[in-house]
Amino acid sequence: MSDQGSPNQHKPEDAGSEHLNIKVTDNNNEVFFKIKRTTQLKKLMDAFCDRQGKNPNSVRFLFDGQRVNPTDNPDSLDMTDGDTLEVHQEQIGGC
Amino acid sequence: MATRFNMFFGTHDTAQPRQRLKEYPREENELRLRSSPPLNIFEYESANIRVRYEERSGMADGDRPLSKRRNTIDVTTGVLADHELCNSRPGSASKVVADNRKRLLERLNIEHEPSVDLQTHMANKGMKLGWSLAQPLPIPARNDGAPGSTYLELGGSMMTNLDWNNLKILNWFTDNGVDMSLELIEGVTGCNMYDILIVNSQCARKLCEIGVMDEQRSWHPADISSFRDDVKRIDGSQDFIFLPINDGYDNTTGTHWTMLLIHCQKRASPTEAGEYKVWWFDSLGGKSKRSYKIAQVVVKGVQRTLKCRGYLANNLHMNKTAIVSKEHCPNQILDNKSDIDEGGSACGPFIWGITQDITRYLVLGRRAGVSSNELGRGIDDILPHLRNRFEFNSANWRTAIQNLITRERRMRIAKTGSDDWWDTLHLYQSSPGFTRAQGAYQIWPTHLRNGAPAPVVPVYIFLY
Repeated sequence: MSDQGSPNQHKPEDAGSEHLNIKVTDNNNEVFFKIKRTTQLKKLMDAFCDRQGKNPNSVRFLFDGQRVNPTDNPDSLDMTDGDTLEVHQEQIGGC
Repeated sequence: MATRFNMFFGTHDTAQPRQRLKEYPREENELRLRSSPPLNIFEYESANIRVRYEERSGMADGDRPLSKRRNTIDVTTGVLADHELCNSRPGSASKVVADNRKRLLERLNIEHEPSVDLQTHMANKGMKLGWSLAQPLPIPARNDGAPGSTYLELGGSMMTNLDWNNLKILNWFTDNGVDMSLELIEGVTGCNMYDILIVNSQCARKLCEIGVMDEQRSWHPADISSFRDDVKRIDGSQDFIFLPINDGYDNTTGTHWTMLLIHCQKRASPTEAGEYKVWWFDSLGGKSKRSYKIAQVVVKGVQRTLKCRGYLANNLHMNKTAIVSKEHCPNQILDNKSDIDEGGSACGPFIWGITQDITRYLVLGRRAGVSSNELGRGIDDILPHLRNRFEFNSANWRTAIQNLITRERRMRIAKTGSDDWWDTLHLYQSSPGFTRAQGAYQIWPTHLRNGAPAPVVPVYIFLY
């Protein structure tokens, strides 16, 4: 599905490894990212939105049911290899 | 001028300019403070935050102008109190706060108050001593002014600069705005002390996903286990659950917000079948069919989630009787006192207003010793009067939400120099093993935090 590599090809890595494989899914697409533990997730979010043609302000990223801040990084969220970020469309209402 | 008390506004008379606060002689406020000793004192303390809340009574409604109430609120929430404490003058309002703190320490048998060198602390944070409400808020370093930058973050919600602007310029409410405004109600009223749960829109959307699973073919309790983190707050221990419903939970953007309220009656044992009642508040008079269907699915999701938690919730379902009739429910077109230019896009403010009104009824009832089952039955009694009693003014509510957000942000920045949630950034940087994710659960019920002691939840209710 993704041209950025399948999770099956990833070797199990040490807990202290510098890089993580993170899956980003919006129910229709799955994109796999490999990022450093200390890299801000803003980079990942922007890359995903750029790829999907979405406005970063109109989508919501969630990890374990918690909103993800662009300034967060995998370390601060205690993410482990293979974790998934969910992406949802923003909800608005006013009429 | 007759004023009507409102927990969040202080009064509906918003024409009182805030600058007049300085014109009132301080002595009057001191007398007021001395004449109404605090009923209850709540104190919250973490690594570098020490916030104190007092609940007072004994003053007739309308007896106290907004400017004086505001002064008292600021003092008791500690925004002004800290730097006033440094320059404490005999007889000042800050001395009253200091005396109360001393009395509290005596009552708790604490011999010496932990020394807080506030001057050094604030200097380290780059803040000038004597920073006052009159000065503009310092902008935290991580907010670079871009639309997507975080404006304020709470335990279960966050708001960007874009959302904040949407709130101010009368744009439609985003999920961020709804989540934050509802979470502030939860914090202000101390809902989790009274088994009242206000979930955010992300959780409600997940419940919608759970509800939409086909029961015959694909649904199995194991399926829900993948949602356990998303819906962990629905655990069967709550008496009242508020759920914001957007008609776009099926992966569209949506156009309308409505509010769902579920009352779960107390039962003798967890395995006993409980009684449930559902109310659905729609500011368009129950006409939004799509929202109604989504709400039905969300209720189904709640029922399945409770079932997986071991609660028999077979009779939890939503039908037409759940719709609060248009004769009783305020209507955003007919009843809104704001012009379209001042208070348009009123369904977001409506669900905030209805939630704060009913939450206040429930919390004050519980504080007065009324059981939750009686309160649940009482909701049906108050609904016929809702439309008359309820002052539907979406412009005022937007102002109230802005005030709450500003106050939360101002207090956090004044206290910690950061608008991060509970200053977790500082905490996890300074203590190894403490993570941001753990910090975010601090306000959640004890049983969700692996038996850790329950934090003291601040209560901001002022009964003047």
